[in-house]
Amino acid sequence: MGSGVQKFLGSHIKMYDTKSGLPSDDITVIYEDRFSNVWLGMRNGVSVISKNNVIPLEKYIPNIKEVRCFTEDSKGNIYIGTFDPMYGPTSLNQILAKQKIKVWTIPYGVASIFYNNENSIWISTYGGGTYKYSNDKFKLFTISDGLASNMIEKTINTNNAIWFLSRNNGASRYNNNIFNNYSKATGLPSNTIYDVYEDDKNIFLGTDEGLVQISENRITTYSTESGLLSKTVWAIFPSTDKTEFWIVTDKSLHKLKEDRIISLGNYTLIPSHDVSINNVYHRKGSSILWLATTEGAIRVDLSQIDFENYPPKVGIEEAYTDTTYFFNSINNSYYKSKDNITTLDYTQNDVTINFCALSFSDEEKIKYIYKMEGFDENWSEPTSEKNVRYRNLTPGKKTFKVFAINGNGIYSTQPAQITFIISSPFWETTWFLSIISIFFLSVLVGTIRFYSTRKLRIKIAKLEHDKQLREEKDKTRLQISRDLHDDISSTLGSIALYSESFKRQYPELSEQQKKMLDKISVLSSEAIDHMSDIIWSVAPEHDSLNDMLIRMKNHIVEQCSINRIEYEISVQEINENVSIDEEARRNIYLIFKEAMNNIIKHANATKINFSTKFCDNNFEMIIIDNGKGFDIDAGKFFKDKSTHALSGHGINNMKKRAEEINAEFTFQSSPGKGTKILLIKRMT
Amino acid sequence: MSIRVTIIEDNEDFREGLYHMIQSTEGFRCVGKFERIEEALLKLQETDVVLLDIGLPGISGIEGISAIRKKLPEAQIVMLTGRDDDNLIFHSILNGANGYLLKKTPPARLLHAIEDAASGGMPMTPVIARRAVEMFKKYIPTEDEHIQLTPREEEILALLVEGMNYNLIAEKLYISIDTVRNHIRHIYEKLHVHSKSQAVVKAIKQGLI
Repeated sequence: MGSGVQKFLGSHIKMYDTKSGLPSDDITVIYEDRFSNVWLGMRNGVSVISKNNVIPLEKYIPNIKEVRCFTEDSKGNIYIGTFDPMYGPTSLNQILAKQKIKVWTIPYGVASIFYNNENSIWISTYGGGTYKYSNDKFKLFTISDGLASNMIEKTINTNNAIWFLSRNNGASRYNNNIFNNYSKATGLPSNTIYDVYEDDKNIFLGTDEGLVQISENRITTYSTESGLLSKTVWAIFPSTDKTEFWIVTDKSLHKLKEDRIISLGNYTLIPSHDVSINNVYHRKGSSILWLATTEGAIRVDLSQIDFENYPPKVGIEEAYTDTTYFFNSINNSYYKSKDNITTLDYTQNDVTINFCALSFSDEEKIKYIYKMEGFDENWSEPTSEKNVRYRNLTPGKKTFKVFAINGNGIYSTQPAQITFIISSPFWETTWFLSIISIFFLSVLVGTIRFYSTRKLRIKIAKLEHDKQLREEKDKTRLQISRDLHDDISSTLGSIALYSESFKRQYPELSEQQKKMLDKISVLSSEAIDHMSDIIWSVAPEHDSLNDMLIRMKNHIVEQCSINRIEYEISVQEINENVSIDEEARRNIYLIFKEAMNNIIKHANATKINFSTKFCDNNFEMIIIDNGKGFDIDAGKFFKDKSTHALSGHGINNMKKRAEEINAEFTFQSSPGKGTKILLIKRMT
Repeated sequence: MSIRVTIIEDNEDFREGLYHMIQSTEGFRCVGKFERIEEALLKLQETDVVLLDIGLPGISGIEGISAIRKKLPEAQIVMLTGRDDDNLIFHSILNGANGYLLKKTPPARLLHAIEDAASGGMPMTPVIARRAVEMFKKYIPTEDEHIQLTPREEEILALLVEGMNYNLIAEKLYISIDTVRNHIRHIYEKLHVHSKSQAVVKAIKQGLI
């Protein structure tokens, strides 16, 4: 709670620090003189608060450092005790006028100085005893002279005596040139004495073991059992009307009234890590406290404080989860925070926060209301519990706020708060959610597409299946027709064999009879041929132009060999990819067969010229023979009156077939000069 | 001496017709006629020419070539085919047939062909020549010299493809017909050899030959 408390100011508590103009926050000693100038001693110099103005004096008295104590003589001059020399007498005006100040070199350094009325200054050193300077002479008092300690750190005068207080050896009361010591040895609970107050009846000593009251040789100690919130009593002094006493401990403020300790809350005015006898200064007869702290000088006007209605001050002490301690007020440290906002993992959502309030009123009557912004909707009911635990906090930014309410229903003017963030579990983070949504979206889109194309795909599959079935059917059909053809061909072929056998078995047959038999052979042979052509033309693997040309060539070779006709074939090699549709193939081939038939059977030719060409998408076929020739009009071969002469049908047939496939057919013939047939078909 | 002919043909009409024709011709004698190869393998007699139908039930003609070859190493095996299906014909040649005849061939020519076969080998037809050229071009690795065609052989094959007969070829190349026949015999041998080569077997499997 330490440092934060001092920041709280009201009209009755004033703070002076570097912000007010002091050269340092670390005040060692404070003294108020009769002119109401407040002298502040620091390690790096002296400052004065005069009429509410902060006046740093460093530039005037730059040599004065490590100020330990002040004292004031009968004229109001100031003596300044530092770790080494003592300076004085001087005054604010003199300092401001940069007048030279006397320097006193004191062995062992100056711990405390005190001006006593008889124009003597008591100068206590650090371990070298205490000098009394009067009439320009130094007289040294040490332990051997009865002084409680050779290191006196505070010198106070009461009505009757001068008290010398030491840190570890108790106090000495100097009266009538005699030192009377007060320490553990004399029945005190402690040897550390911070303050003394003496009146006719009592001696009050503020020690670090409580408040000691000595009256009529009876020693009473008021400690924590008596109601003090701390045993370290920094100051004890009477109120202005002297009906009660103020007790200032390092943790609290109390009153002593009629032997009873009244607690005035738990305001810790001074951070307790300061340990110095001179921390608290009060001018005799006033109720004003000056506190010399490491965070500045504090002026407290006790008579002005409305203790009951003083707004309590609330602060967060600590905040933690079951695994992480993420705020600690002692160091004001935040765990892993950015701008004092700690980020916690989403598993650390069990958070406990401890807080407490400082006030001048009874601590037990203080209640709190709180709210966790980002989680609670409303403020809680007032509770005297000083902590709250939240389990299962939701992810997000959370700010915990708490107000204190004192026994009189006075709220703290500001809440204490702490902000932290509970991070989302990864499954709640934006990037994760966006990835998940993209994932689900794509799955959704994929599914929709799948189903919408399903119909299509089913259709396509069916079509392909049908196609497959068709192809298989076709294959089977083809195979069947081939087998049929083979069988029929064989049987037909046997006709020729039988008739040939017959010829050979009966050589005495007449020529005519033999011719008749030959005819039978030839007819069956032709039948085989025709069938073969059909099968050939239907087979799908024969749809290239090349295949047709090969077949034509083979036919020519075969027939010419049989009939002893010379032949010349000139067939241009054609790109294998050129295909010819079934109708064109059949018709061209039939025209070819017809022409060959004519030549072989009727033309009496001795030489055939066969040539094909393919250019500019045109297929050209020329068949030339040197036979008898043909008279188109007469429909007969020249000079051939045989009934076997081919009627005009043959040529007409060829013409018709050519027309059917949009091919050009030319027939040239003259008697005795042979025949020329030209066929041109445009291919696509 | 009569030329001994064995007939293996499943069509009864053609088989009997062949038989009659051979029996009624001077110089030819039928020493066996069978419907199936299985039957023939059991009862084969010494013969000069085997007329083997390509399309037989059971063991097909093509498959039967090597079995018959084993039994009758000296015989000429001539395939009979109703259709001039280049593939079947060429496969027969690869498997060791010495030639082929279309069933529609006029009987007189049939007998001539049988005679040719018996006396020194059947002429290579343009069909076979063409397929052979193709095969040598595509499937024989060029590194192996001794199984490549010689330039002369290539020439002769090319002329055969054109449709020339042996006479014309001999004339054109200024060599004797016997030399032509020799070259062609060599070509056939190489075909047989290559028919066992990896590339060719693979190509056959793939239906490329």
